[in-house]
Amino acid sequence: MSKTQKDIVIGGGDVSSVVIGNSNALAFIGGPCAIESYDHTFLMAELISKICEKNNVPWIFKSCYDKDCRSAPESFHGIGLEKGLEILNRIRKEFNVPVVADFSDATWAKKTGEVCDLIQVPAYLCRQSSILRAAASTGRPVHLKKGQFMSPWNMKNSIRKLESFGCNQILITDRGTFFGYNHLVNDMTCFPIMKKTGYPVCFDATHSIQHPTSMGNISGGQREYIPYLVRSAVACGINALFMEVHNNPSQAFSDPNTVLDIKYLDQILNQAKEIHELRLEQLKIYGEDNVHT
Amino acid sequence: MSILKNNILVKDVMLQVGNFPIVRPSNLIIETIEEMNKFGIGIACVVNEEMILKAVFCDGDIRRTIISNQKSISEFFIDDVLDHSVLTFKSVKEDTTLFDAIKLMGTIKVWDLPIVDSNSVIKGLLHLHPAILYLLESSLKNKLS
Repeated sequence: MSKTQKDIVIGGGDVSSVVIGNSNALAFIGGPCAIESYDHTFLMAELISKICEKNNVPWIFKSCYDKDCRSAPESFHGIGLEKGLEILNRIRKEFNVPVVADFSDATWAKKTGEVCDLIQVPAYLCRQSSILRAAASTGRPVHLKKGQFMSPWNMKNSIRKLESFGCNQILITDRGTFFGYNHLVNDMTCFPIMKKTGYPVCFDATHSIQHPTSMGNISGGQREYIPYLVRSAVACGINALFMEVHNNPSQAFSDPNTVLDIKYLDQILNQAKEIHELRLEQLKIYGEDNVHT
Repeated sequence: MSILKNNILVKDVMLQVGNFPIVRPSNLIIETIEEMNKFGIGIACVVNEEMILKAVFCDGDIRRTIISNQKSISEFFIDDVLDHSVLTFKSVKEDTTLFDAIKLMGTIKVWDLPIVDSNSVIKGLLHLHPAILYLLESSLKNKLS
């Protein structure tokens, strides 16, 4: 028996809003993995904005100010909390788009929530009570990523923690599950399973094709599988699609082996949108995807 | 005193609230099973905040789910108990005679029967073992007297 599915609202007020869930349009959450500079962030937002407008896809801009889970000590760690949030705030105003960033330290949550319309909990930290409490305390909707080590049904524990801290606007995302060492797989049944919590679900395509730390001190990946996984996940009923994009992936400051070259975003979003709309039409005809009883 | 004289009532024999498993709809299956183990009783009464009985969850529901559902045990454990509970169940009132209650239990083949008031608020649980013991003791007293 599934709970009634909730819509969650990202943004609103002084910025446009994006409603995620149920029969709403498939939302796109994307941007470069790390904030590299104001100029680069602006360029990426401009490119994504045009593609989303063309495809009539509601979107949320994502980029992070601190990449605390990088493999190597010498890897780019991030532009920093203050400077990063200042850039995100400018992007938010200049493009009238809700923004999201993750945070890896509970003390960063308050400031992050003052700028970001959606607060992201990193997958590695999805069980941490202190992080979940800090995320909920911002009063913003929370983007909760499923840990690569977690079963989809056990995410209910993190949901229950967030709810106990007063948060009832949650987006749950799959970004792959560890399959042995340095390898991830996607179990598409995770979407209906996680939807049973009553919250909308999202698929992170670009981290799903990651091979975590497979190159010794950085992560590898197989970008060529992104379209396959996106089509599968949308058909399985996701409400939002998350992808990190870059205009020059090999030179990206973070995740150069997994970010999607933005030249492919248009065709992937177009396919995703069409499959999503077809699924909604089929739901009207056939009802819920439940053949169990 | 004789069960056939209809002067033994369910309220004379039932387990009082606090002495049998009572859970909320959002309690997990694992939490519910732990409650059932704690009391050694194969039924849990699922109630809302007003203690109104909404469903029952029994040992049999666990057995049937394991066979019919075939999800992993870890996934089953974290489901809400309401997901696997019986929503259409029998109950009786406190002033029901023990004779009628046991007859009903025999007819529907259950070991436990929830006791509710006119507003469906849970008042107790009729468990077959203490009920039978009560009857045996009553019968023995009658023979001796």
